[in-house]
Amino acid sequence: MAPVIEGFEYERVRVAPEVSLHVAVGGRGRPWCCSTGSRRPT
Amino acid sequence: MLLHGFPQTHLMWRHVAADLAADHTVICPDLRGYGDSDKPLATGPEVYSKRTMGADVVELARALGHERFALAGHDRGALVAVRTGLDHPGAVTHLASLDVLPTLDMWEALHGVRGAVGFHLYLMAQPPGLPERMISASAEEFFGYFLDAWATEPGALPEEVRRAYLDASAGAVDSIVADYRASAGIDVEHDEADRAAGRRLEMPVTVLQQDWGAALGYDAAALWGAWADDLRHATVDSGHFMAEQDPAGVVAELRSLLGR
Repeated sequence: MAPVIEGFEYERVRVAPEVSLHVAVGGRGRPWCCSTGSRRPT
Repeated sequence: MLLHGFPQTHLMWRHVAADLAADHTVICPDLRGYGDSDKPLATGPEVYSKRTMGADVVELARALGHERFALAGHDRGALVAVRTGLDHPGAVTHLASLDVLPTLDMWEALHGVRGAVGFHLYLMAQPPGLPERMISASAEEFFGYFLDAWATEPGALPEEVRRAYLDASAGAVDSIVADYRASAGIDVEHDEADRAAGRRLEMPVTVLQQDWGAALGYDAAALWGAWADDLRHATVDSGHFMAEQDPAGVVAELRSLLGR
């Protein structure tokens, strides 16, 4: 398994019709939407 | 937002990102064509132009809820960051570039025998076909060469991290070459157009780089000064992979930049 940035969450974000990026996100104050649409800080 | 370089992935920011995340939202993508991000076929030079890759960055930030953001890049990621700053001055609040020259200046600095140090730039600038086949045939040695030579000290990269970079790069030869090939063509055209128009980076800029200027005979601070009014230029002693070899120093510079 490839190493990761500890404490960061990983997701894919589509940035163009043919391209999605693999992204690590961490830190306070980030707008974060769970599957139910609610928001919580990370 | 932190952008990685060659031949690496977002993982190169693991130390810096963890520190900054204590009081900032930190976003570390794999650039298009690298790591686990999509690698679209290079059907034209614009697919891997720094302009297109910069548009990815702006869209990524927007998708995560940030219309304006500070941007730092290392190596290839720094070229993307600079292009993003030039193309999207309203989105990029602060800009940091680690260990590159702007694309146009890089080519001008590497003329004659000085170009030997950048042999990979010339290899990957060739038309599609031969560079991809040559690199694919020796991917482990090719990418490993840069990870080892540019680190300047043995063991600078932990083995599992080095392995992750090698595996990611071996699986991305075509797109990595396309990224470099764009910098020998369309990226230069974009820089030339900006230079002709007098377009400059409007936000505070910090540049950290090894002292290649002394070795190759150019004034790096002056070259950067032609692109940015509010510039801090610093020469560092750590190797090319400064975010991993001296993360505390890089963090201090980035925090100082954010305070400007």
